[in-house]
Amino acid sequence: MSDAETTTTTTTEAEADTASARPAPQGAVRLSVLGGDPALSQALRRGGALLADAEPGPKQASAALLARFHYGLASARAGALGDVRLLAQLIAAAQGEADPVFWPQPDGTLVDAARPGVDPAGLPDLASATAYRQAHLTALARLLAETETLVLPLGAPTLLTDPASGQVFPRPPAGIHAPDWPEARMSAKDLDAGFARLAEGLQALNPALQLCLIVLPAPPGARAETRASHALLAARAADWARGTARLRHDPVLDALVGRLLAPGGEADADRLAALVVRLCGGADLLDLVTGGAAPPAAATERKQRAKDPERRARRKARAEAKGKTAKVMCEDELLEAFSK
Amino acid sequence: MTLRLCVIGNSHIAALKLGWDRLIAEAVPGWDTVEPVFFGAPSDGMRHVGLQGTALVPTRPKIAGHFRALSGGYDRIELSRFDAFLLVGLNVSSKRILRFYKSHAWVGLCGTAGKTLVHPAFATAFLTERYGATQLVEHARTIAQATGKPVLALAEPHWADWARQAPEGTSDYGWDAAIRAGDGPALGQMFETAVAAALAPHARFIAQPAATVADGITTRGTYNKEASRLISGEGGGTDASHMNAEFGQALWAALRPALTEICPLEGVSA
Repeated sequence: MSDAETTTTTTTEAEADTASARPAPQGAVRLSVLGGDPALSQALRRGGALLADAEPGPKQASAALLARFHYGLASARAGALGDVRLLAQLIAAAQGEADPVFWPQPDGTLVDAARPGVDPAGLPDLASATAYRQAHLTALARLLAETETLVLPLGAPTLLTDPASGQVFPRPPAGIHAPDWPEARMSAKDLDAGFARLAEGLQALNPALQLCLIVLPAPPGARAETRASHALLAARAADWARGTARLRHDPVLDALVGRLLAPGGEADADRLAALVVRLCGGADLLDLVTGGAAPPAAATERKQRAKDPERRARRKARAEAKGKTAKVMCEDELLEAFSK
Repeated sequence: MTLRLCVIGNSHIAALKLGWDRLIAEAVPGWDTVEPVFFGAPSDGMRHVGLQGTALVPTRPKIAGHFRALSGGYDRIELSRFDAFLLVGLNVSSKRILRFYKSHAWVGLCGTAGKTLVHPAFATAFLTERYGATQLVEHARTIAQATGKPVLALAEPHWADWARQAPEGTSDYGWDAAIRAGDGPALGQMFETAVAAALAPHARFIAQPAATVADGITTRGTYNKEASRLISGEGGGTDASHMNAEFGQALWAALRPALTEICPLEGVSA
């Protein structure tokens, strides 16, 4: 028996499952991020942001396993997203306004067309696939309803268009079979229409939501068309920010994020990440120029948690409860059997 | 031909020993060609045992004392003395999967309300990873790599079915909730799949005999009865985790085909 070991694990899991949202350390910035490069979410955490997680994986899983199944890469397991039309469709689905689309695979399984790269395999039948998607959307809707600031990293991902419905879908990774649909166009009109649907959907879900758009830089070596798409997107985002309440888009923030995510890394990544977090959280650039970026809040959080009287009381109660349970007499069992 | 079998485990080897005593007392045909030697330590004591040269050696005197008491005088396991190895328990139990089930469920299960729903492939991979970090798998790896000889492995038995009712003083890992949701068999199947996968490169997993299992994740009470009675005084009658001689006998029967593949047992059909 390994009661000591298992009890410890149980406690940790129970804490993770039942604990309410942690009190935010003073100065901490609470953010939710949908899609984007996982490195951005990592950087935001490193910069002291408290990043919401609508679909947390088990804490005991290895980082590699969690990443393989897209746990913790952003605030929801929705894939890289990055396009306002995709985001608008996702928000509509979270509001129950869109039917799911699944792509049948040669092995008979079904893959969620809205996030084909999130799980490495499909599900065996429509009921399972629908239940799984619905659980994702429910978690997402809850996240958005509770979010104060939503960060949306945008780029120019390759999308497929369903000619029948006009819906767009991410291009699936290698190994996933998708219908032979054409690639989606990216015009100012398409983007504006997509953004209008997105803003409307978010407004309906959470009227107080603050939006922060980040236009990611085109990947190094990108084709001229891709670079042009990024430039178009940046221009549209600036326009949207001018005409929409509670929406921010700052080219300086775009540039700082680009520097943070640049290949080869950033020499002073922690300070830069802290700066990015403050800007995402709504700080004014001029204030940061004089005050400098705040130190990461995460560093001080552990100490505060250790001192938290509620946590202390819970630990004490668990220790007492453990004392009341009967001990499994492993040693007695063993010696008894071998005394005959 | 004699099969020199090294049995290594924690307290759960007690049932195997009691079952073995019965097989010998009843002179069950074929088993006299098997020569088991038991080594072990209660709880997670086997973590204080490591490979030194060609032997598994306890690093603590107390564990060495247990080895001597159980094996008839040996305070280390000289690996070359044995033809095959049987690892027992060593922290691999279905409790781990039940803990996961309290907060997560995979698509296809019934008891999903209020839980994070995960892909079945993630559940399998996660549980395989978790079981892969247990002493059972670590010792299997060590022995297989050091000897190249066959290694068999048994998990700790599911707790006795009466634990479902969680009487005062008994830990509740959620058996009743899982069974009432109709998920017992699926959880039991996932347990076997994940443990077998975690052991696969190093050892062959022998699942708990189906006849001893109730509702997929508990052990029929009859296999716990005597074990519970053996423990007197404080804690008496509250031990749902250890099993009796009958259970041990059922385990030997389940092991028989694998043992016969390693070394034909006279008079015993696989």
